[in-house]
Amino acid sequence: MSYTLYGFAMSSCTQRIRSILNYKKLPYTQVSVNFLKKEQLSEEYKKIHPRQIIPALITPEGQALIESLAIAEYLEEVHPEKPILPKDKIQRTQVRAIAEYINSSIQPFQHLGIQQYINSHTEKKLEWKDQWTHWNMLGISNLEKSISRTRGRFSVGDQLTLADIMIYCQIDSAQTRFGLDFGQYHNIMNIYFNVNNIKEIEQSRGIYQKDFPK
Amino acid sequence: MQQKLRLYTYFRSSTSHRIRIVLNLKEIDYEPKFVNLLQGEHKSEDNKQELPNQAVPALHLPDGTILIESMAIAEYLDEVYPQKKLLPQDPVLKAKVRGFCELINSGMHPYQNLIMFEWIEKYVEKFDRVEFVQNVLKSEFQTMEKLLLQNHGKYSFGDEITLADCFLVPQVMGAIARFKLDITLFPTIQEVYNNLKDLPQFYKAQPDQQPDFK
Repeated sequence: MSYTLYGFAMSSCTQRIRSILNYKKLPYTQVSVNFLKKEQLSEEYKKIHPRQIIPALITPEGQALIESLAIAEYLEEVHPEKPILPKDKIQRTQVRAIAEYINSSIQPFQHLGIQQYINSHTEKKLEWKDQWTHWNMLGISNLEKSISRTRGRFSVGDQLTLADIMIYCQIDSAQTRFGLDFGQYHNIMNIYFNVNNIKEIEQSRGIYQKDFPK
Repeated sequence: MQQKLRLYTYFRSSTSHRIRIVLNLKEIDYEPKFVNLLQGEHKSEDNKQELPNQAVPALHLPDGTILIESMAIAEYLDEVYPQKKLLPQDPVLKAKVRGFCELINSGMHPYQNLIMFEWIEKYVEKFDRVEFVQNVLKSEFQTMEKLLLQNHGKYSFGDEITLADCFLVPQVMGAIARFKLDITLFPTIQEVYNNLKDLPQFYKAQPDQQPDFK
């Protein structure tokens, strides 16, 4: 009896869940939903996710869960071993704030639909890489400041949390996809390397997945 | 010395609106501090310490701790003030409520944010904010309608108010007022919205009831 993760190797949101499943050593299988081939638009996937985006996680009992942060909180509650949220209520809130900031103020701004909208309304063409660069640099520079107040070995204190997994997946995705360079953000990159040393999380990267495009 | 919780809020900010509802539902007495986003007060030197992410809402605790990100603030309030619990006990239902909130927080709200508009306007000369948001939100509201059809009672999830309702009302109210949403296209959303918006805790939180309303 195990989880089923619907997602794609190039999706940082899928990587977040894969990282948690591997970190907590939970059994799961993956089903590839290749958004480059628009596989998320299939009738089959529509039954699983009403908005037809990835990821989705099916529990062993057959419940379909959506939204990576809601899924992360579910896994943390039902499988508390190898915790990814601190016990202290203020620190939990600080972890959630970092996670929410990435989830709502960086990742959505990368949406291809925005580039398509701009390019259909202007002569000056916007490269998707430039869109990613703008929002990632802005977002990561804001996080660099805020985690300077909360960090220890990791972004909130000295234990790995969901905030670190979110930071890692965001940096990894931007580096892999568009070669963005975050070297000037010392706090962020310090945390990135600390997370990278955690085998289960490093091995959750998209490039190791069967459906990573050649 | 600060005795009550202090909420930095803007009357028209959908994210502040969510927290105003949560505070009202839990009958938490708070001191509002008004930040005029249109006049750029969120970016001012005066507010640099108070608004670490240059955004509203920000919740200041009596001991000086500052909490940001509406979803993180809401989770904190639900943990620390357990009267009128806004997240269900059952982990799967809790994940569905959180998932619904995240669809709004990261799937809808980023695309109607001032920071997004200002960036697009650098590229698109005669940017029609209303047309852009209407296009983006069409399928999102269809998704909300599907989810509510599966889960609603009097409110979004059954007959008890949940955090989903605290996210739904600001999103719908803002879409009607600012982006000409025709809510009659979404009968379940309309029904739930009408059941909620005139409840005193919701009514008192709405933009035109705020002291900084213009």
